[in-house]
Amino acid sequence: MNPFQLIGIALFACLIVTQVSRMIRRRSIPRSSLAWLSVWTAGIVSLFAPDEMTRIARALGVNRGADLLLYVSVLCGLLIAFVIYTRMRQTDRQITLIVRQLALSTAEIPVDFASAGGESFEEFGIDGAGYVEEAGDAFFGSTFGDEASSQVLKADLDER
Amino acid sequence: MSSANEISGMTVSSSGSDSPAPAPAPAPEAVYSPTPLPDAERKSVFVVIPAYNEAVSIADVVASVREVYPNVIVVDDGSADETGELALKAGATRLRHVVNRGQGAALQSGIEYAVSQQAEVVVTFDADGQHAVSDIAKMIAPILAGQVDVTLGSRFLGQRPQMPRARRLLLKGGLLFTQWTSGAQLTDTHNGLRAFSRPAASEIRIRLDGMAHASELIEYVHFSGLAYREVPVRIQYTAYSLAKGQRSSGAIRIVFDYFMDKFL
Repeated sequence: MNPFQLIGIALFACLIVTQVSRMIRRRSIPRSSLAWLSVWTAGIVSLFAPDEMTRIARALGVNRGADLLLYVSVLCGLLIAFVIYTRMRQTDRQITLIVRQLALSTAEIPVDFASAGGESFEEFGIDGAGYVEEAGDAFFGSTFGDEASSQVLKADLDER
Repeated sequence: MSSANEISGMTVSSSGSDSPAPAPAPAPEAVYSPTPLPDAERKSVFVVIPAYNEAVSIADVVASVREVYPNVIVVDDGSADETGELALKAGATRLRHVVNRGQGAALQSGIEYAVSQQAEVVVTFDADGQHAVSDIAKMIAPILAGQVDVTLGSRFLGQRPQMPRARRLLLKGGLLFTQWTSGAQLTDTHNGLRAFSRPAASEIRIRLDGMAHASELIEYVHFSGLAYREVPVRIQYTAYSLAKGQRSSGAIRIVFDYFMDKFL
């Protein structure tokens, strides 16, 4: 057994121990943990028996075990990038909805709305002057009340 | 990326910043009614201005719009400067995105707010002063007359504004792209001056947060069955708007965002 195999196997063994101890601690066996366990185990097997890898590779039409490993890891990398990108877009979308909701519920109206557009605000039941922060509820009644707005947000999120 | 927050995704970005004002077009003034609008109608018009770090221009822009249209909504899209405070002082309602979400997101927030305020017409307007307030009347006339639901400003319709050739080519590219994706036969697809009737404004959902919203919006309007029309408008390329305009490289990002949204 050469040094590379030793180091590699030690590394994979550590990963397996970590994973298993986590499963024990949480008293659950999530599917993702099983998937990772099988990956680490496959790593150990390929280090123990490189010839086996070559045999599998030949069977799949690839010449060397190392090449097979390379192809598989590139594919996995692309898949992971795709999944992360999709997840990121979803998160971005949700952040935008939250930021928008916050903006709508904290709209600030100008101090001197008596000048040009003054009366137009009175139509909506605003009588005082000055800043109206947190105007959401006071302003639009139930339209932008907490309940309604959270429902809107939820509906928007469900759309995705 | 988010640095790109002003509106009409495209303003001239190089040389000739002190060039002569774009020749006012001998444009067909078909729908413009010169009579000033009655107060009630002016108050039913809400002007939405998305702004990201526009402290230099925002106060003047808000003030000039408010001379005619009292209801101005500035969506401060997470600006690091005084944009929001200046807009508020100038008499605009301020919506604040606590973090920068992009121009598409800002427009959607402003439009939703305007609809909640009983706006009958919602106009979108650039924060950098490149649009003329007098053009708003032309934009909203066909909507108030009930002829169309959406009007889109065009700097090319019946006119040939001065701009560097590279910019003209880029806008042409954006135009072909949008014509290809949406099928809409327009003359200017990246113009920040647009107007929506209340039903159109309530219906529209801009999902692309960044600059790709321009293509998304046109596609939506085209396929939704809303009646739309282009209206010739002037773009004033000031030294400021020139400096702050979109870089040409932004186009790559726009195309990327657009297709990612389509296929994922």
